[in-house]
Amino acid sequence: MELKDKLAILEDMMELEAGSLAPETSLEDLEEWDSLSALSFVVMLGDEFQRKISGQEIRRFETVQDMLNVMERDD
Amino acid sequence: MAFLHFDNIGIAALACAVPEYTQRVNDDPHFANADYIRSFIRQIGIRQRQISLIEQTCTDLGYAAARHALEYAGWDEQSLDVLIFLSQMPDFNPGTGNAFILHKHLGLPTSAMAFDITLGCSSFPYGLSVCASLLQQKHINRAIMISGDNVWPCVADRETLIAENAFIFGEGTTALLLEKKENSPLDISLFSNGKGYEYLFNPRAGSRNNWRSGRTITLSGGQTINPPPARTGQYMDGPEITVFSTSTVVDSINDFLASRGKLISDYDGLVLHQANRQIVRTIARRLGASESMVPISLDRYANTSGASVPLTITDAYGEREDGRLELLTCAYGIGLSWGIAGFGIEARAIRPIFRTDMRFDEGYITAN
Repeated sequence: MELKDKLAILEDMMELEAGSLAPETSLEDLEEWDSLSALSFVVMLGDEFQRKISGQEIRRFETVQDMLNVMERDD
Repeated sequence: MAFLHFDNIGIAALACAVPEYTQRVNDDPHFANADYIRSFIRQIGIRQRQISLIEQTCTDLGYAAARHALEYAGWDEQSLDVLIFLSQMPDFNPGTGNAFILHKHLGLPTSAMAFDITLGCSSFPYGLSVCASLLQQKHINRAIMISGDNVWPCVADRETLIAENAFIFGEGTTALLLEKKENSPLDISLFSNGKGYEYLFNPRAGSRNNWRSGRTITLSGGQTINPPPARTGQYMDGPEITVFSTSTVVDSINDFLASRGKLISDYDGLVLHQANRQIVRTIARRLGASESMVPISLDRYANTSGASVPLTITDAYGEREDGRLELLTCAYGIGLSWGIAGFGIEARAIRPIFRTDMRFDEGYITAN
């Protein structure tokens, strides 16, 4: 999946306008990144990428790039 | 391995009582926090709840539900051998179990055994396993299982409660009557993971921190958290709980089905604990269950803790008069603790939810 498609998934998930996220966007400054969107992220990761992730891994996220890094299929 | 099978457990009645007051999530588009509330409703799915403003507890509601169930089944309270109250919120805590207060009010004989089981959202299949096991005894023929918790005591006062704009938990208490009955199978699988106790807990409530004040709590891994300073400021590790409920729970339901040679389509309903609509729908989708067989009650009743599964059964099927339903139920939550129960029930034994302001006027502080 291409970068712009992944960003579109995240923007849709956090109800942000298209193009508002970049890999270097800091999650600390992103008001929409909260426990609700973390839930959506976990569900999306399972549905779209057949991947499981631990709470600890999510807590270590600092930027959008960290989210993009796990949005890969294992195969 | 806690996989249980019984051949002889019948359900004579299931009733549910809720408080009179309906509180709605504040969906005023001009409200300062309207954006958050919109995504709250969309993702969690809660729009309103029933909650007591008159210091009514799950013991009062449990009495009302029990009376209704006993009347419907035509059972004399003297014929009950077991009363189990599933709750984490006793009227008098720590100390007396709610089961004893109901034992008094319902007028049960002293030859009946009464006790509480302290479990949260997962209590329904656990309570069933205890009742069904006791019913294998020669002299135990009838059991009543009450499920319920309180929400209002976690809030400082009535004004604060009424001012809440959004909320997760609601109130309702159910009463289930169980008896020996031939050719009535009940299958249960139970699971626990104590390593996850810190993923969902009330670190300030209870004994551990009773001599300490302050906000910061250090978890076993060294990580510090700052749960809200409310009386029972619950801490939740959202990502861990999401993984648990949408992945571990799904695997366990699939194991349950495989071990019994069943398919999800063998059931008329899949009744899931109602904490979050997105989680309910994700579990259903991952199990291949059609949306029409997975009832939702949390939009109107929120998360009612251990009562959630039986309340959802009464909400979804309480108006049906005929037929028999095969139900697959799954409850999961604090502990971590989860369980699955599959059973048949006559639709007419499921009573519609009713509201009540009934309250026992005793045990209150009345003077300084």
